[in-house]
Amino acid sequence: MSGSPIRSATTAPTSASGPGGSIYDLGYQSYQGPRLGRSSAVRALYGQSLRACFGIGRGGRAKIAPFTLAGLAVLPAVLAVGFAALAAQAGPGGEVIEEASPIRYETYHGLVSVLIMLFCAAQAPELFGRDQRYSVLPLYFSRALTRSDYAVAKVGGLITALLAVELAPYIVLFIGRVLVAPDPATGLADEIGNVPRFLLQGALVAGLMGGIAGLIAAWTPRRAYATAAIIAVLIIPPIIVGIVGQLTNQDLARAIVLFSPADILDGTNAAIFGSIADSPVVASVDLPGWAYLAAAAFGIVGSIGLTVRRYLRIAT
Amino acid sequence: MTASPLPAVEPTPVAAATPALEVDHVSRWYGNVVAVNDISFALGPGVTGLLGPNGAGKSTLLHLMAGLLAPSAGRVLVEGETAWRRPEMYRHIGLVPEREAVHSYLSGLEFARLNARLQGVADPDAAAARAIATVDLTDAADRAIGTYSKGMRQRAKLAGALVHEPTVLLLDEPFNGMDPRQRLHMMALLRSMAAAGRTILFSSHILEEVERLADSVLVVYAGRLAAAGDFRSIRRLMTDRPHTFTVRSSDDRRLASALLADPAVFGAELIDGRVLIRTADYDAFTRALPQVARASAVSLFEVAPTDDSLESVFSYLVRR
Amino acid sequence: MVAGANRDRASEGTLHGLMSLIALSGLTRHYPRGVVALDGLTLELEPGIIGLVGANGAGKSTLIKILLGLLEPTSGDASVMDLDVRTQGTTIRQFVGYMPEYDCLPPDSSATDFVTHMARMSGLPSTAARERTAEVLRHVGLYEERYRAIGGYSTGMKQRVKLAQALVHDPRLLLLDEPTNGLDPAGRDEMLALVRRTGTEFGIAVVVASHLLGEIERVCDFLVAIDAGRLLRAAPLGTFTERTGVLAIEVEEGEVALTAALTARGLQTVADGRTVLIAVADDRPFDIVRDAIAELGLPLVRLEQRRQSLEDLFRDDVPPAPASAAAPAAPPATGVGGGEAR
Repeated sequence: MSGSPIRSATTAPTSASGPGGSIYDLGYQSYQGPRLGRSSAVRALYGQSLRACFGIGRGGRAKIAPFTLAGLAVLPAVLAVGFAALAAQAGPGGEVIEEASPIRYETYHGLVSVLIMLFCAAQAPELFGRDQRYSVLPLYFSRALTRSDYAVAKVGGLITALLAVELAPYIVLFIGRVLVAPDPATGLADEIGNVPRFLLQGALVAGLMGGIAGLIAAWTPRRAYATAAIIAVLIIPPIIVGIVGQLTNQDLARAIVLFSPADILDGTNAAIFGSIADSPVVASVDLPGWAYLAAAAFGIVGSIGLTVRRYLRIAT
Repeated sequence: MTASPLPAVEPTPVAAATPALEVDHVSRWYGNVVAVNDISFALGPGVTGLLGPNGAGKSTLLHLMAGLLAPSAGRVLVEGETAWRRPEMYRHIGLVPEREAVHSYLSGLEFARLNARLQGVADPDAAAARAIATVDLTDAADRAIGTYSKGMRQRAKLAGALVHEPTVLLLDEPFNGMDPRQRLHMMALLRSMAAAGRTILFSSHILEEVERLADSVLVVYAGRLAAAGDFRSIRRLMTDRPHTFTVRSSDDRRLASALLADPAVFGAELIDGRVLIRTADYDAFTRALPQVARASAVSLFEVAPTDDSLESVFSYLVRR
Repeated sequence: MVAGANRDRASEGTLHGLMSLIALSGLTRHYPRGVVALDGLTLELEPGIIGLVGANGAGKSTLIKILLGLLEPTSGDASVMDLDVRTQGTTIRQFVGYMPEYDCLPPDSSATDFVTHMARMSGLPSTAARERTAEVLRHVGLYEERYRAIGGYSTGMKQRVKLAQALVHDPRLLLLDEPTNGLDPAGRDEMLALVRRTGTEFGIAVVVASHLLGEIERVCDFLVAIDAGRLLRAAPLGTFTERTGVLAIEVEEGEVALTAALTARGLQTVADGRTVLIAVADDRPFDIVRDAIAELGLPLVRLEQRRQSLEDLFRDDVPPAPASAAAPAAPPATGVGGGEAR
């Protein structure tokens, strides 16, 4: 019978085929397609880690903390831009008001550093602890990626997420100011100088906080403990430094200030923007700017290195 | 086969001694969830296997029997007396639970001694040493349990349950994770204890183990007792289910057609180099087979009931 | 990055016969506290369904981890599909699937999400990962439940997910560590059938590590037995379960009469409980037995030539009472030797 209304044009494997019809083979097929190896696996893990930091792919509840914190971090910038727009309309008097605005590139770090820290403390434990707690690591390590690939992809995802949260407000501020300026071209010229500055500060914050949070979370699979430890490491040292600075001489404070990540970032912020540090101790200790930058770089590399080492040696 | 240690639920004709452990119309529920539903049986000396699918109520039943849970209805009787809330009754029972972790920093001997003292045994040191010797752990008794292999850990738990010389021993999945040699040792140990007069009940998923070790079985399904006794006898009782036999012979086709002429046979299949025969009349067929074979001049090399295994009985029971 | 040499058709397509699947040479692994898990293990395995049994100790899990590159050997060499585990581990792992013994699944992921992610971790592109996941989940028997979180799965379903993630990247070799762990009898049956199918229909070489000899007998063609880190035996399964020269006859009643009748006809007969045992060296006794039973009108329940069992390998003492040693036709005492084959 030649006039069958059904004609199948698939290239699926067939079990049997005749002029009147075909049976397609639904049995197990072997995979003959491309195998992309380590780099593809690493990129996939990096992407998944980045999305997991924002709770994407994990249901609604997982998104609450990250998006709230990110939203709060951007909020001052949005307000500042709105304020600036109103001030621009108000004319010269508005400029005075605008100059007095506390929301500027150099002050932004002080405004949102706590939010960034909370973001790390909330997301890093889940990112690193989950696979350890549920013993999923052997399944990863028995695949195309190496142990160090795994660590780097995870840390990379975390740092990238932090970078996004950290830079968004600066970018909003930048664009807002450019648009709000009476002449966008001169506005751009005015503001452009800040771009490399905030990019650098943002990168240092993301790198250092992310690196430290990742390291702590990699060592502490229990979520609550990791969160508490991350917060402690970021909050307690500045307090100690402050106390030491008040009670003793400056030399001791100068010696220990570089061990406090929060103070390091405070110092880099001051160094990059040429402003005064928020912390009185940092302001008075008078270390050269490059000291903070070097300490930050060292901290970033060190913490990532130690995280990789942790995964190289973790037992399966 | 040794005599079944499991008297039927009806009283036996000979005046039996009080059973070591009896479960009398016991139920246990949690709110609306009925974990154990009106189960009755009695245990005597020997080894009994407790089987059932996951979630059938085996662990609950073991805990009820050990006195760790109160029945919601019914009674658990130890040596004829109710066990609940009478600590002296618990002396008769030893439980080896599946999951409970043993403190891994204790040595085997210390663990046994701890149990002995908790049980209020008169001379804890001697009792502990004796129990350790029974399970053949004397060489490793002074090492921390954390250094033991899986099989040794199970034996340590067993020693802990034996210190007070209970007459009844309850074990929850005792062979879990043991390698073949450890399992053989443990089986030999349990068999010797049963031969010495102890009543042993163990639960397991591994039917081949139960088949080898247990004199009789209790099958639990959905909280109810589905069957009790020697599993071969249980199979005979499953009269609503046809028996199947496989036969290997010198001429399968000839044998098959000759057998089909016999009224006891209602199916014969040539498969896999054998004849698969279905019959509704076990007795008539088993007598007919050699006679039909002789009459047809066919040699019989292998005859086996295909569903006489515990596995087959079990799957039938839990599919109703 | 996959080296081109390892992806050429020659090594992928010709699985059977041209390469050794696993080759070990003096493989040793020590753990702290003096535990020796593997001690100078040397063997070579061809593709098939291979059972791995360990008596005493951690040998089999350790071996699997070394093959996967999860553990370093203390000394000795190992190779998988002619690739060295120390230097070519990443390549090996692209073609090996691993199903661990313990729980290793995150409870808040769905089976689909998790297995797709694992496929990507094995280097599959994202579309292929999704499609393979869907297919493999069907092959292991997970249907609508695959979209629910794994935390709510039964043990059987979790084991299937573990198997799926091991299969999703179409490995050439599957390493299964106690695949029926925690499953009830029905679940075990299904898993064993799935394993058997994988080895036979799917064309994948399988190594099953198990402490349950019955399972190994059912599913595997070849057995590797390790004892205290040393190789005890490595041989096709058939050699462990050879027939002995003992024929077991089970009749529902009348054993005594039968024993007498057979002895009268010149056969060496021993009674063991309800079973009657005779020595067989050739085909002649079978008809004599048949005729004796027929004449007496006895119900014949079972007629079976006794076989050695895998367990004999692990007995370190004289086997307990039942009769493999009772028959006078001198079958081997313990371990494995040639039983008299028919």
